[in-house]
Amino acid sequence: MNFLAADVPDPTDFPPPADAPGLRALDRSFRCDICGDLYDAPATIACGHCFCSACIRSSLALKQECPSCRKTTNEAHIRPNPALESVISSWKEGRSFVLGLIKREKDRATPSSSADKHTAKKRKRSIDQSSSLDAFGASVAGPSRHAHVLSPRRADSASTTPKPHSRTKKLVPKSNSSADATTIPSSDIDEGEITPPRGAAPKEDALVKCPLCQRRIIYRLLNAHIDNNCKDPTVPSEHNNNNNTAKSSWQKIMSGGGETHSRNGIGQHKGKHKKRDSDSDDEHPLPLSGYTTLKDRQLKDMLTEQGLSVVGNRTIWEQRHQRWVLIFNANLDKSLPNRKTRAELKRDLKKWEDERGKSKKTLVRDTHQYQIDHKDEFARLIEQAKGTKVKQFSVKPQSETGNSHSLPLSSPPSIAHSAHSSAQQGNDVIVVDSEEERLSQRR
Amino acid sequence: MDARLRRVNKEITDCKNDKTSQIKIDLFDESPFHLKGSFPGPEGTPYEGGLFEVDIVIPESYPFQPVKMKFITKVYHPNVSSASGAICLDILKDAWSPVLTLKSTLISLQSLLCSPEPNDPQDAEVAKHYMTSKASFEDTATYWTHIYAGGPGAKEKKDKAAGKVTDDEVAIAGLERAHVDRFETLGFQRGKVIDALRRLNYRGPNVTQISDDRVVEELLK
Repeated sequence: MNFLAADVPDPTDFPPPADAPGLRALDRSFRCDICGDLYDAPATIACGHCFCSACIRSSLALKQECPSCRKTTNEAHIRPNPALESVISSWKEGRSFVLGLIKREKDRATPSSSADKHTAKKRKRSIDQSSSLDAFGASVAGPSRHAHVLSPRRADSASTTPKPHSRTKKLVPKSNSSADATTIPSSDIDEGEITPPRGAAPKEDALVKCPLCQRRIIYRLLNAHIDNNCKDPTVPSEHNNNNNTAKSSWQKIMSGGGETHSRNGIGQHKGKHKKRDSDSDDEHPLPLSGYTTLKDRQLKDMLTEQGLSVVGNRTIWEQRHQRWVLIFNANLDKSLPNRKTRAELKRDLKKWEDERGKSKKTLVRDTHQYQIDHKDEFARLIEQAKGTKVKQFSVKPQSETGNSHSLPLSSPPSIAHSAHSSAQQGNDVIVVDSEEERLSQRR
Repeated sequence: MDARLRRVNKEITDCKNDKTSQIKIDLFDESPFHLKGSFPGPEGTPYEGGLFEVDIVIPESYPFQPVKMKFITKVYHPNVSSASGAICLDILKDAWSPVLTLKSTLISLQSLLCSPEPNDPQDAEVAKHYMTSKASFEDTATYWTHIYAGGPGAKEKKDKAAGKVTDDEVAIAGLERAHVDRFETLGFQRGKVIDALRRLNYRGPNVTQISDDRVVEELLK
């Protein structure tokens, strides 16, 4: 039952229409009919119905009709709705404030018995919201009118709540995700993502060799160049002034000369996808592709072109590329300041893959206990692995493949090895771990 | 929490908060993706007064793929398999749309009970019964509602024909007791007679069209 107790904000957070006319309906009207969340990058289609961009794109990929009215439509009809987007971002802030006010009002009306009316869930929820509101009020310390309204209970509750925490979590998802960037171990992200240590990075104006086309590019423009498929970076960015582009094109012409600033081979790969200060080449939506006619090679190229990992089998590649195109295009439907960077999108993609894989993989928490519990299995697997070693793993363990996928690396080397080999063949593994990911990328 | 789980959570909350629709969604076990829905049989139909339970499985790509639903409660209906509970309803197949919810789908099932579609049947025998004699079909559906869905059933409604529905097997099969008795006296097992008559749809006007020889032939198969 614990998933039901989880705090998922929905219109029923507000009192029924009899008590608070319009609020539930208002909150509902700000929600996408597909995912039920507040619109994320709201997009309108030809019939005028509005959905999250990612939601409607997912839906149209399966059936080209409006989910609400079934009128025929397609991806080309999707138009971003910036007005609604700004309404939503304001409502996200106002929502918890309004909920706090309602709570306060109720407490005042029925000082002690109000809690009895609510279910446990509701109680938990409203307490959360009021505390986040307190934090909000306290940390903003802004208009005196608000401070005045909130004053009666501020002193006690503000002292008990850690103040900036809940606010940043609830209201500013962006800062949250950038915090993730520092905590996620670099091995989770494919090799290209690894940011070089500050000291090792070349100077912004230094000339470096493009790892793909081997042309010499100003380091600062390298990412733009790569993202542009190594075509001549026109870089019509607001960040790059004319001076720079002119300089870069001159340097390109002159680049036949010696490798004065060349870096060694290892260094070339580093910083390939260092977070860029310019997303200007990402302005154009990616085309949808039909994958059936593509050869494996082409599909792989398409993935590498986008800087995506090529781990897994063909089905996984297709799904990965399709999802990438979807979230990439959906991201473009956001207004400029709200857009995510490529790196953030890649993290989203990774999360999506992990979530899809989760149902198939079992997560082992207590690795030590797991080893004890499955000692027999391990022993048998070791025997099996020894037996099949000669045959180059041509016979893979039948029943245990599911378990071996989730083996921690700390397990005995031979087991890890057998797990590795079966993981390479297994269809249901998306990403087993970073080491294998790196290994298979080198292949 | 992924989007699918969030949405399911919202849908369950929504159902709990809606007192008017009388539609309930409960968990089977710990899994949030295997649920049990239930709704009362619609008024003015043979299903009135019964409580119908539905097995709900939420697929991985929900809401982009339709939920899988089938009746747990046995239902006598042309579009519901009387054996497995499988449902023939367009929105559970290709007419699904991601804006449909568990609640709206259960409401659709409720209205499916109101308006059977015998031309697109799930259970051909029941559909034939419906086409042949609607009154007889309704008697059987009422009987099923009574014994399987806890409805008030035949007793109150059909005092006048109380004699007809005393025999369980015969009533469940939607046959006339007199017919079954007649062929039973020829020396066939009662169960076999019921099966054969049901297969032949020995009801209403069909009774005069199907010769006794044809029935015996079927019985001897």
